[in-house]
Amino acid sequence: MADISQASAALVGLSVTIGILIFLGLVVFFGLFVQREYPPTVAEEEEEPAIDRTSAAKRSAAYRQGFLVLVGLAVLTLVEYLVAVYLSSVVIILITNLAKAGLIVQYYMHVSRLWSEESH
Amino acid sequence: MSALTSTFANYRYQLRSNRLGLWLFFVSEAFMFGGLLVARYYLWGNTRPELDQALGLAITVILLLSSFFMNRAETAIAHDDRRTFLVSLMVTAILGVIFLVGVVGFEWGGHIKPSDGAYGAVLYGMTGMHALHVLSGVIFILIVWNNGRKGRFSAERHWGVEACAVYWHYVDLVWVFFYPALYLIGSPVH
Repeated sequence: MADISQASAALVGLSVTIGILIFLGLVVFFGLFVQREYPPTVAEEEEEPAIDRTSAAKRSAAYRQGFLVLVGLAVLTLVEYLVAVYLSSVVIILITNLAKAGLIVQYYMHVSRLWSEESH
Repeated sequence: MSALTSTFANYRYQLRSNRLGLWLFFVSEAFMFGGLLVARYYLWGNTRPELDQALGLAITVILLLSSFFMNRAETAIAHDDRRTFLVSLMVTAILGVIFLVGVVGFEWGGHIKPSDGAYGAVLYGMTGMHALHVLSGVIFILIVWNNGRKGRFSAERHWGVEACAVYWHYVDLVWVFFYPALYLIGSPVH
């Protein structure tokens, strides 16, 4: 019985792991959820206050992204803690670590700036 | 090419070189932290010392929060929001100091001593080396805060802030792997 529950826990862990890896892969390599900038329309260009609005919107979006990453990290830390307490699955804990590391490296450390021309 | 264009081109080239240099430094640091992690898994195996779980979780959350405020500070200076930049930077430094107090003041004051065999050696080696990086990060942040207060950074030029932020996040990244290795993985040994 214990073997069966361990096997099913491992199966769940493996599924979660694969899911997280696919999700992270999509986020990192295909830039999902990254706000794309579209060129302003002629009407928008003519209105000067629109420039301020765009700048404020960009700033808000940047702050919001930082907050969402924090929420993601908090949830993953909680998952990690609960898994350690109730499942003791090293595999799931390590996968959670990798997911947290991926979020930090991509969104907080901006690793993509290394191979982009992005300046200040 | 005008002098102004040339200056911007030089700055961009310098910025790319700086970023590459910083990441190469991180790679070299990763070997040291990786060595400590290998020592932990080799010497402790599937066991760990009995540590205060609430304290471990609390200092982890504090470090994550500090990373959020550091990201906020970097975002703020990139958008010329000077007030948010200075406040967020100071909050990050304070949270870093709280983390240090949690590790050095409370965890090190527990029942495990550095002389307690493999458990003591690895625990103090890992937390000590990490705490040293947190301390240098806090000093780095205070220097950047002081320069920011004097108006030495702008939305166009703030490599000092970016380097400080990336370094702080790296320290957080290391703790992401240290926390479960020290507190969560393995059976507690009394």
